[in-house]
Order: sequence, then C-alpha cells, then structure tokens
Amino acid sequence: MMFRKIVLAVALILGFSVMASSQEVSVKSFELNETDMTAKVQPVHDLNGDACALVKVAVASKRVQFKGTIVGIPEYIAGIWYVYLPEKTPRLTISVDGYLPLVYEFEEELEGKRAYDLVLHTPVLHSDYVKAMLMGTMSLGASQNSYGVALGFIRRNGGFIRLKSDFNDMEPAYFCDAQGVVSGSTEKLWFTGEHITKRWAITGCYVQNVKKAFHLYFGGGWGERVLGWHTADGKIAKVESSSFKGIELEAGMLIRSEALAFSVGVQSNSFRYMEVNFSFGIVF
Amino acid sequence: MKHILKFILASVLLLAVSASCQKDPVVSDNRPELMLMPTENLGKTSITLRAGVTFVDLSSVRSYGFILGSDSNLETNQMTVTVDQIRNGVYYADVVGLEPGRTYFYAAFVTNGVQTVRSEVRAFTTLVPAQN
Repeated sequence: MMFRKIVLAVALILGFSVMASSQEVSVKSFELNETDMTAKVQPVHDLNGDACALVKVAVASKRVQFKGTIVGIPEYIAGIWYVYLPEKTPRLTISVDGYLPLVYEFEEELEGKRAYDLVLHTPVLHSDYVKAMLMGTMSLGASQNSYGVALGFIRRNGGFIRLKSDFNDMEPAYFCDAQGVVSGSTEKLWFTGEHITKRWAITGCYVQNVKKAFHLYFGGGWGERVLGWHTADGKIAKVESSSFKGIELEAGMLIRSEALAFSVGVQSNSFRYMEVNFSFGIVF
Repeated sequence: MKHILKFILASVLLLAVSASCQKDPVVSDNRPELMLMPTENLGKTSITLRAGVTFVDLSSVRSYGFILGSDSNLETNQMTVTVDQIRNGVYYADVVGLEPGRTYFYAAFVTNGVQTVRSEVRAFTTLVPAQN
C-alpha cells in the first residue's frame, strides 16, 4: 500500500514538472510587406473565389503545424513557411514542436493579394542545455538490496556513472556449493543458519532520448556479488554457485523533466545475477 | 520505432520478473550441539570424561573426542583424546597419565575434517596422593 502511494506521488511530481517544462513561442514582429508581390503574382483563392492573403512565417523549425482557416497546404521554402489565409482571417494557431501552441490574433485586417511577414521567436529549449543529473538508486534483488548514486549529465541525450553497494564486506575462509559441500572435496560444512551478502558495482550508461521526456539507457561496467554463510566455527563460507564477479550490464528507461529524473531498469552481473534498479533524483 | 520501444520494454519487464524469481539457496543450522556431562572415576592420574552430542547430520562427522590443556584456553600442553564409539548420543573417554593434584581444563569436540566445534571449557583437579 505504501509502495503504491510512493509510486503515485512520483508520477504526479513528474507529470507536473513535465507540464511546467514546456516553453512559449513569441511574436517578434508582424507587418505588411509592401514590396512582396508573391500573393499578387501567384494568387491563391479561397472557396468563394476571393484571393487570399499570404502570411510568411519565419521560424527556426521545420516541425511546425498551422491551424485555422488555412487555404491549401503550408509550404516550407528557404526557411520560411508560406501560409495562405482568406482575407479578414482574425487569427492563426501555430504549433512549434517542443513549445506551447501560439494563438496569434492579427493586429491588422488581412487583405487579399497582400503578403505579410510574421517573425517568431523561439527561446532556447531547456533540453538544449547540458545539465547535471544526480540520482539515488535502490536495487532490489531476489534475495538482497543494494543502494547507490548515479551522477551524470543530460542534454537531449546524456550519460551517467552509477556506483552501488550493500555496504557489507567479508573475507571467506571456505568455499562451498549450494549444499554446503567444500569445493573440491566431499566434506560438508556446519553452518549457523545465518547468511551475509556483499554487493558492489560500477557502471557507465548512455542515455538516449526517445520522445520528449522519455529516454532509454544502457551500459556496462564491473562488479561483484557474493553470498556467504556463517559457519559453526565463526567463519564465512562463500557459496560459489550464488557468487559472481565480472561484467555488469544494465538497461532501462528514464523519464526526465526540467528538474527531476526517474528511472527503472534491470542490471545483471555475468548474466547470472539480476537486480531491478529504481532511481530518483534531480536535474540541475 | 514504437515496435522497438515495445520490444525493449517487454524485455526489461521480462528480465525484472526473472530477477525476482532467482532466490538464494537457504542455509539451515546444522551445527552439532555438544554438552559436557559429569565426569566419572576421578583418580590421582586418571579420569573418565563424558559428553553428549546431537548431530543434525551424522554423516558429516569425521571424529570426536576431548581436548585437554593446562590453561582455560586449552592452548598450553594441549592433548587430544579421540573416541571411537558413541552410544545414544553420549561418548566417553578414559584419560590416563595425568599428574596427581593438578588442575586440567577440557572440552568436548567434534570435527568434520574441515571444521572443529568445541563445547564449553570445564576444569577438574586430580586427587592428591595420601600422605604417609
């Protein structure tokens, strides 16, 4: 129940922060271009046969959508969108990818066969800045947990280094199998029934943006996971069938807003020991 | 792109589920329990030591007996007496060649060839010869 509440809270925080991270396009200038004869030389007519006004929209993006009473399909020519509108059209809605839609009310009445220049200003998206990312990590294994930090950078794509451990250490005196038999012999050890684990890993991951706030990450590194059993003579036996040291691989998904980041993924040591990683942190 | 994304997500979920299924083997307490029993036949140079033992896994036992020493840590002048027979969980050893009027420390032990488990340490004092 508690876990569900935490997940819900994280989802709400991320949702609000993603919404808050969208930015607005503004109008830099709008004016009649007396010298532009395009709408007069190559007139486009509306359903009533009246000649349209041409609004030339200058915006630094090809990913733009226009909504309103538009005649024909807007064309992108040499960095400028050509949009034909019936005369006296009051407004035009412009959606630039990554920004909030702009509803522009024309300051003057549009006239047919006239050309107008509309220059838009698109502020630099927050995602265009390189930012640092710091996340706390909790790793859940089937039989043990570990904790760590992930530090990295993110722009549109990014990367991070993750360090984690269960903060245990041990010096095994014996090595045995899952039945408690000493490796290389037939002698069976005596145990107290208690166990100890040791886990550490260092990994580096590449973060690839997939869509808006959604990213995938994958990477590798080096690490160790040891299962030890306390023996009757006060020592520790390393259970070799459940202990691994070698290459770490991890992959998962990361949702990043302007100020927060959340990720979930899986991590494996030598493809034999698996953990689920949950990370939550800040982007600054 | 959507298909690749779905495939990756499904793979991640599958790995997460498999991760949650691979539990560590469980270790149980299989220690032998040793308990010293009252000594018998205390003499000037000999004594019979007795101990009770409970084995969880008798097949793992290689030998058992008593360790004697002249200090409570059983490190000085240590002597080991190995026993061959055990009856109803009790074994005993007749220890001879002791010095009269001297205090000895002892503990029962059992070994599986790799580990040795000891009981608590107790002491006894051999009898002093009667004065003429």
